[in-house]
Amino acid sequence: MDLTKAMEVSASGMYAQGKRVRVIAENIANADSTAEKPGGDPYRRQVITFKALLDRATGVEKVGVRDIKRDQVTQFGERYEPAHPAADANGYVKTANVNAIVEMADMREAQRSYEANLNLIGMSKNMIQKAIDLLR
Amino acid sequence: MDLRKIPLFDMMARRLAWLGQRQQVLATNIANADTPEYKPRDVKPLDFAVMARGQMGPLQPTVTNPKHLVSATARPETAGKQKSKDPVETTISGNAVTLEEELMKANQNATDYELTTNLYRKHLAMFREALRSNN
Repeated sequence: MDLTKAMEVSASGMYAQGKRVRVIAENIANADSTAEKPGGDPYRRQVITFKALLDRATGVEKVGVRDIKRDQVTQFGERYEPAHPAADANGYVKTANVNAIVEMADMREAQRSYEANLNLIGMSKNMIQKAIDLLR
Repeated sequence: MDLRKIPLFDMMARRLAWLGQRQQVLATNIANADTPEYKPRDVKPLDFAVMARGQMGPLQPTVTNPKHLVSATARPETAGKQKSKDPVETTISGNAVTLEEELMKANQNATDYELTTNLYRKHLAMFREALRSNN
C-alpha cells in the first residue's frame, strides 16, 4: 500500500537526520579535544552526506547516509597556552576545527527536516485512518 | 452489488489510489530534503476528463459491416512520476526541495483524501437511505 510505503520513506528520512544529529553531537563534544603531543593534530570535525537510494524490496526511493568524512578544508585554530602538553616551541596549541555556530545551524536544519518527516508520518497515518473509517 | 461498477465510486476509488501514490512521492521528496543533486518529483495530475473517458470507454464508430476496421481501444494512461516544474530554489549542493512547498502539497493531498473519503461515505449513506424499508 502506497501510504504505508510513504511512512517507511519518512522513517528512513528520520533515521538519516538522527545520524546527522549524532555526528554533530560528536563534533560539539570534541570541540576542545587537542593532540596529546606537540606536532599532533587535534580533533578534526566530521561531515555527513546523504544520498537517495532505491529500496528494491518495496520499489521506493528512500534516503540513506552516503558517508561520514573528516573536514579537511576548515583550518585548525590556535591558542596560546605554553603549559599545555601539546604546546609547540612558541607556546601555541592547535585547537579543533569545530565552529559552534556552524554546528548549531546544522543541528537546527537537521531538527527541522526531522520534524517535517515526522509530520508527514502523522499525515499519512491520518489518511490511512480515514480510509479505515470508511468501514464504519 | 459491485460498487466499482458504479462510475462515481470507481472514480473515487481511483482518486484515493492516486492520492496515496502522491503522498508516497511527496514523502520521498521530504525525506531527501538534504540530499545533494536531488530534484523533487510529483505525480501527473489526475485528469477528470481522462477519467470520465476511461469510464465510458473511448467513443467508437458503429460497425455496420464486417469489413469495417475496429480501432484499438486506447486506455487512459496511469499516473506516472515526473519532475516537478519550476523548483523554487536550488541550493549549492544541487538540491531543489523546498520543505514548505512540499509540506503544502502534502497538506493539500491529505485534505483531498479526507474530502474523497467523506464523499464516498455520503454516497454510501444515500444508498442506505434508499435501501431502508419504509415504515
